[in-house]
Amino acid sequence: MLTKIKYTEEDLIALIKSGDQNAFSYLYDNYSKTLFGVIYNIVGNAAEAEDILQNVFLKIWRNFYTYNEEKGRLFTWMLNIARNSAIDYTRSRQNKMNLKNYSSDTLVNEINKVHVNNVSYDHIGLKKVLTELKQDHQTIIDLAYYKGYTQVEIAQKLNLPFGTVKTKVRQAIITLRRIIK
Amino acid sequence: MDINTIISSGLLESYVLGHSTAEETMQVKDLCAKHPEIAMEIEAIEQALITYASVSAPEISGNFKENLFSKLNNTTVKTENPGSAFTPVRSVFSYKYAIAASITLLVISTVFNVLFYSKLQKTSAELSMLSNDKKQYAEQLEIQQSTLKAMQDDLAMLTDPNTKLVKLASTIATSNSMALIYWNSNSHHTYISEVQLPKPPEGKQYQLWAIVNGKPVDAGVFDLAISNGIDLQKMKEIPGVQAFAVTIENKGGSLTPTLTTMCLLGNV
Repeated sequence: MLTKIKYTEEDLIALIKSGDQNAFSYLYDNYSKTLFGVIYNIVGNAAEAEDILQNVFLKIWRNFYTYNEEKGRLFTWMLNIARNSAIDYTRSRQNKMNLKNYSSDTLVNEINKVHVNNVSYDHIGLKKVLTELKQDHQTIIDLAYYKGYTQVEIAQKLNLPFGTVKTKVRQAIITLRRIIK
Repeated sequence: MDINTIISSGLLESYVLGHSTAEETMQVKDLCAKHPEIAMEIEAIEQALITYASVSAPEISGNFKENLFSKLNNTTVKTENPGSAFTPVRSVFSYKYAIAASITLLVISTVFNVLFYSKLQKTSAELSMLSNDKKQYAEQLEIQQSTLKAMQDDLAMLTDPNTKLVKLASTIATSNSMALIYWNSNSHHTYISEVQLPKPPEGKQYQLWAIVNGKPVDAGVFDLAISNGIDLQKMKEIPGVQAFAVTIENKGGSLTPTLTTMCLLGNV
């Protein structure tokens, strides 16, 4: 969490663009756990997720000059890099293993599997989050967040009206905001 | 637009999750600049997502950050748009590669054309040879078929109940000379076979005579050498034959037999 704020986001971006490693270290401290969480929830394996996370941070460092604030949040930009890297990795791993019937369902299953894994998690506690977050909200937020589904795609996949999906995404995030306060 | 309507529209969540269109993104940026409430809402959404993902994963290995930063030092960071400076160089290179690739393809194509052309020539030569062969075989087959037809006719004649076998014996008691005549009383076909006669003198030929009503009728000359196939020579068709006789005549045959040279005789 962004507790010890040393830089404003504008300063942070400008410094990293100039090649400042201290600023990049700050960026790492603030976002590594989140990006790791995104990757881990997609690939389902901590060791593989760490390999991907390293590549993701190297990509962020090398390509930082391409980040354009006009085109979205820094978090969103990094989320896209992490999510795409993890999804690409999962696809090529699936291809290598030559598993048939790899579909979106498999990925959702993997995500669900991760949530019941008996691994020790962090401070606030996943249990608390998950007990408070309704199952359908969790499914929708995971699709939107980890799978990169748009709200329209979620509506199609779950066969729900678009308005319902929109409401549920919003409610899920409101619930999360209440839990983490 | 009412701020609460915007906040509850789902647009801000889409924006943070990276799903908004370019147009929507511009719209959100505008709204943020105008309304601090919207900027705060976006921060809150982002914070919720950051926390949600960070609690749903195990701890990262202790030495991970060190390893990452040691790799970072080996990586030069690009600071400002280097793209434009490289573009023309790259395009010259890509032209060169494109030209080289085109020439290579042209050469390969030419080689294949030559190969295929010579192959085509060879194939059409072979084809004309084969069609010549085919023509020859067809001709041979025609000959064989007509031979077969003749033999079948011969056989049919020999097995005909109206065909009579006449053995011609030598007029000289000590001679082994002989011949067989097949004569059909109905169709009047006459054949000579199994001829055992000495070679005729130079300029002479054996001639067959049919005796009809006591008078000799020319039935044709014949040679000793028998053509391929069945030993059977077709003679003239003569009705009402009572006997057959063979004389030696000048080559080509005579109108009347030279009785002194008669060597074979047989009654029907």
